[in-house]
Amino acid sequence: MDAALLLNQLFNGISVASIYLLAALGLALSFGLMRVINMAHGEMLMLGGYLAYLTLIWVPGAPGILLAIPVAFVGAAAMGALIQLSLIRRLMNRPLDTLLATWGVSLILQQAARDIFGAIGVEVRAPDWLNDSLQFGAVVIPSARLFIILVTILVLGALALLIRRTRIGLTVRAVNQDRMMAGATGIDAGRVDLVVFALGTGIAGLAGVVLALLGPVTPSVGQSYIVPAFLVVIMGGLGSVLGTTVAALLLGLFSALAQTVVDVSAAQMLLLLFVIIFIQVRPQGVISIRSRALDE
Amino acid sequence: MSADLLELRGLSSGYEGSRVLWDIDLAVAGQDILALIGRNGVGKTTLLKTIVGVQAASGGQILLGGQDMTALPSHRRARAGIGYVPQGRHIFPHLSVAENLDAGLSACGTRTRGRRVPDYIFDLFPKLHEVRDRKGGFLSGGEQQQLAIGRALAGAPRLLLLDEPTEGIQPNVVDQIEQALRHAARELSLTIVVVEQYLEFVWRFANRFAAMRDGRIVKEGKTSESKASDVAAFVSI
Ligand SMILES: Nc1ncnc2c1ncn2[C@@H]1O[C@H](COP(=O)(O)OP(=O)(O)OP(=O)(O)O)[C@@H](O)[C@H]1O
Ligand SMILES: [Mg+2]
Repeated sequence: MDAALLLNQLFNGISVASIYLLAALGLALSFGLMRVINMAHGEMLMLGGYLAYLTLIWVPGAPGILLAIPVAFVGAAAMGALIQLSLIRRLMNRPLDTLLATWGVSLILQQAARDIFGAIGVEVRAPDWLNDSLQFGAVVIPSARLFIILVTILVLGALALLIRRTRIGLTVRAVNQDRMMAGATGIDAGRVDLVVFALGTGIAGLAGVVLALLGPVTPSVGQSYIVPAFLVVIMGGLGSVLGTTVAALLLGLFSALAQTVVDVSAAQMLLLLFVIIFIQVRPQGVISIRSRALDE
Repeated sequence: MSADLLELRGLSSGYEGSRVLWDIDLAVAGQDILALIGRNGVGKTTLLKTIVGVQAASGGQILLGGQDMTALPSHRRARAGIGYVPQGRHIFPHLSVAENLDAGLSACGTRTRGRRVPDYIFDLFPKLHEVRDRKGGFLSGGEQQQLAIGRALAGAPRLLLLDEPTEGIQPNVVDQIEQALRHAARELSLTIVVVEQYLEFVWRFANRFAAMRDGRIVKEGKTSESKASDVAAFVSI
């Protein structure tokens, strides 16, 4: 393997990692804070993808992409808030029921997408500059992938600022560290749960926009990313932002490099194997859930 | 409306299957300092938790300034003016001292915006200012206790509940805690309920006491009329 190919795949790996990360952050946040697993999380990606598609019909070109980002975020966050208020809040401390109920939501949302947009999937017309690529000698960097990495860095930065520097971030950390005491100091833990859940689904909506730039948006597009997203969360240590980021990078790079040697489905299998071995060696994940704060 | 700041009427509470508090009636007048005493396991902590709302009442009523708190979640009670310094302190371990105090401001509710931790807290506990950037989990027991009291005061409560504030604390910090509670009662017109085993300590500043046994209040009175040594039977075996 020559250096240029390796560099190409490295870059590819980072962009795959970016999508994994955007898809996994919401899962990690809501598991870390509420011990809730949302089976409909993949459908938030799907929703974001369709919202991007609609936005680009309405406003084509670069402004459309920029507009799609807030539209998908707000749309998916609103859907998340609805799910949290109508189901998850009512099923608190009943993990199995939560799993089943959100799985039901996932099926309903997929069927709704099929009814509205058809089973085949829709193609988002990305502006031309996103179909370009930058070339450095033998290293070719597709603009769309660069855009994805940029969006992810911005999201991570904004999330870190929110958690560390704002009042709401302070209350999120307090609830995460000692829910009983947070309530007794006047923090509305139920509201914090809602905000964090909606934030996580909103970020998944952003992942959907990014996916729409790479391929067609189908009713089941979320399903193909939710498995690696779960792997990232498990490997990251179930709930910390830093752990999730490191795990997404490891898995993204691993799957991109594996694909240079074997085909896509074999690479998926190797990925699973990699996570299993990793968890054998380090069962607590990248960052142990006992020794961490949510923001680490 | 009653003149009592805190009034408990027939309050009962417990944990799955086992009842711990039986029909507690208690009235605490504004600016009273009540010492709540009793042996290990009689339900002192459970009583405070039930008043704070982190433990559900199974019967009876909790009134604060005549307002019924019984059905409110704990954050609403904190915002209504109940400050809590729990047994074991419950400092947020990964928040700095300054952030722990900031978290305490949440009890000011919608009035939190633009509020700062009042300076008098650092006058009472200069140590907190010194260690303000350190994580709560790295503080010594005495520092954590000062922080827990500071955090509760930051929320500008009307009623302050403390659960064994001197447990495992050395004498000079005990003195500071006493100064802080005297200050809170005098300058801030706070009403205080303090659970204590260390009777000589509470008798120095409490004006009333209530003794518990097996989940019930079995004796009440003024500290000036019963010597600490007379009620010692309620705390030791
Ligand atoms: N979380 C819990 N689940 C079940 N039972 C509990 C729980 N917490 C306390 N108890 C029981 O309730 C009773 C009262 O406990 P509580 O902590 O209120 O006593 P206490 O008077 O504060 O004692 P101490 O002086 O040791 O702090 C005890 O019998 C205890 O075993
Ligand atoms: Mg106790």
